[in-house]
Amino acid sequence: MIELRELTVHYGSEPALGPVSGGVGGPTLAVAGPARAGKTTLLKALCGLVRPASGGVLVDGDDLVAAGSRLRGEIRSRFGMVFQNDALFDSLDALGNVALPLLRRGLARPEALLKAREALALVGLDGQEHALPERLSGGMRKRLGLARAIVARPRYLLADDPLAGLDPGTSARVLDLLFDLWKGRGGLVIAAAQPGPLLERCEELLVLDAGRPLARGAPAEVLARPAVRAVLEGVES
Amino acid sequence: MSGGPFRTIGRSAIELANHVGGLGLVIARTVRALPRLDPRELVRSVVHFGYDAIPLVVALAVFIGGILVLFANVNVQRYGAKSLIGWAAGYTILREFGPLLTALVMTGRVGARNAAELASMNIGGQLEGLRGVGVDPFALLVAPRVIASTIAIAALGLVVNLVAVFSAAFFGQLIIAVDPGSFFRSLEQMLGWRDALAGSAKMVAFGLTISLISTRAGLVARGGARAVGRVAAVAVVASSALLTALDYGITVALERVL
Amino acid sequence: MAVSPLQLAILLGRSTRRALRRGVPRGEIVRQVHEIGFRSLLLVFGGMVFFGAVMTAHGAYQARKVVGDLSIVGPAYFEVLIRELGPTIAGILAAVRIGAAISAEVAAMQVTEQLDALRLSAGDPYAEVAFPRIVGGLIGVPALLVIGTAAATLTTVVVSTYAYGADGTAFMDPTFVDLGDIFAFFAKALGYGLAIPLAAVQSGFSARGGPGAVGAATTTGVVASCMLVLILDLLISALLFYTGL
Repeated sequence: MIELRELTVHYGSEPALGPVSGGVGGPTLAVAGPARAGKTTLLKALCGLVRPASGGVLVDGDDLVAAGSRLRGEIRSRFGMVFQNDALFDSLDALGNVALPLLRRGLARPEALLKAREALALVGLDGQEHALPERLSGGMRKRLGLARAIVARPRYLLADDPLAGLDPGTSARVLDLLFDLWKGRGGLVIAAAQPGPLLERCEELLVLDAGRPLARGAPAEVLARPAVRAVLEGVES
Repeated sequence: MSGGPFRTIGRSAIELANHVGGLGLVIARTVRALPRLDPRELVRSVVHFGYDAIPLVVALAVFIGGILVLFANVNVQRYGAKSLIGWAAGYTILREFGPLLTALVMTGRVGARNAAELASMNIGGQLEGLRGVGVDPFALLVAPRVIASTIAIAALGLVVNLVAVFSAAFFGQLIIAVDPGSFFRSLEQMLGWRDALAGSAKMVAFGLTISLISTRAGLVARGGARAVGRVAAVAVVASSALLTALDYGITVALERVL
Repeated sequence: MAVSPLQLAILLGRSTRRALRRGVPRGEIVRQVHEIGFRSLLLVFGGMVFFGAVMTAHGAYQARKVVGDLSIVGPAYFEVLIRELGPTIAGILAAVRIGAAISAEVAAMQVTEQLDALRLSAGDPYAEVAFPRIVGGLIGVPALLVIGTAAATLTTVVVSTYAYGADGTAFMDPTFVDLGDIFAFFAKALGYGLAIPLAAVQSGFSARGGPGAVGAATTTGVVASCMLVLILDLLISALLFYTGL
């Protein structure tokens, strides 16, 4: 479990998120809100890619903020993340992209490549091993990002707007794949501007507005609130 | 397939012709848009390109002055003519290093920025959008930028020349104990309006080169974030290459005339 | 969004420390030496050829007014070329090309979140992206400056002989060239080789936003690289002047 204690994040002198408190990583959590609401910032603060301006982040009891670089690296390795714009390494082919996290964690090359191939097969990209990311379609790139995120068997999976830019058919397939791969264990946090397709699969919904948490709870209950609907309606249009 | 080297040469020639043609097109359409230019918009653009570059340019000029004194000192001391330092430094500033170094730095400051801004607008669809509502993006956006950036660079060149000469006088006193009085006297005696004009002519030519190349580069950009960066980098390199060639051509041409 | 010397010093320290700790990425360093050195060769070589021609033209003009025969200024010009103008003009040309290329590339990586993805994949942008480019600069830039200065020298020899009828070899005459000049050359070459990639990588790392941020970072990177070349030139020249070298 990840516990947040009055977490705030600033970009320069601008407040971007917070204060946020509570536990994350148990039930599947969807984070919704308009642009600039702080969704990406929240995800990055959870896994230590972004340092808080104040407040604390405890990951399975370990204090992320006070951690030295070695502990921070170890805590980060408990996470996998699918990024908003894929963030694939464009100088490496598909296999290289997926193998990199394993190689960097010290795995021997043959073993890393084997595991990478398995991950590619799991997401249905086994025929695309040597393709460069720029040659892949939008849906394929999302799947590649997913393979890279899970190949090192992280405890938590963060997905930042994983369905952005996909047509409804591809979108549904990627979503199915995401949930199939993660097989219902805890620790899944998905951020989305439009939470629609996620709602029936997520157990909890957190709505952010301009960096502040607006509401949190069971999706149906949260969406019933007029304030929440007003904020999200702006997103739909 | 046969014809290897010829195909490469042929392709390069076509690419070169394409680029030259593209530049020619930019020139032609800019000239055509001249009468329709809005003077207020032009002034605003000149300020946009030039004004916040002034601190940079002043710093540049101070360094040029200092470096030039060290350089002129070496040259002139060989022949024991300390009194000529003002002239030697002034000459090289006005005719050569003022224009050349300013222009090279401006390929970054103005050229890269211009190419990047146009590329972003192009990729973001703003240019298409303007065409869609019947506005000619060239007259509204592009032509003013070409002219404004040329004027801005030429003006900045003047600032550099002025500040660099004073900086050289200062460093002359500081480093080799030539007093400003005799510095400016020798400057005045042997330099004339011809040298200033030669320098200014170069700055206008350099400014035009940077503007045209960066504009053309920005307009043909295709892609995303990576393309913007690539276009800015290409604009900078192409401008610099052409600048050095122009520098030589103009120097040689002017020394017969001015 | 200017780049400060303090940031550059921190970048240098952090990149070196982390690269040494994690193991130096040799393959990437080789790639960067090629990218930085080899791909800038055309611009630096061509630019210095034209510059050499310009210098000769100016020399002829000044010689006519002061001393009469162009070859007399040959040895003095050669010394100034090695000590001052060669490294600096070639350095600015290198700064322009390398600064733009590296800032654009690194800024694009930052803005598309590739650097974040690298960190989360147990990689380190300082060791894997910054360090190879710094080493690439330290090796590539001095090489470029040597080739560029040689190109300018040969051009002055050829142009003074064939265009002005003087004894061109005077422009290769090392009478005035002493150890201090050679030292000045390499001090500047190494200084530029370090400063250019540092400034460019720092601009790239600081990019925030969308495609516009990539353009802004490229502009900042090129300008910072150029200015550092000039600042280092003045500092090193002045230092050597005062210590009598």
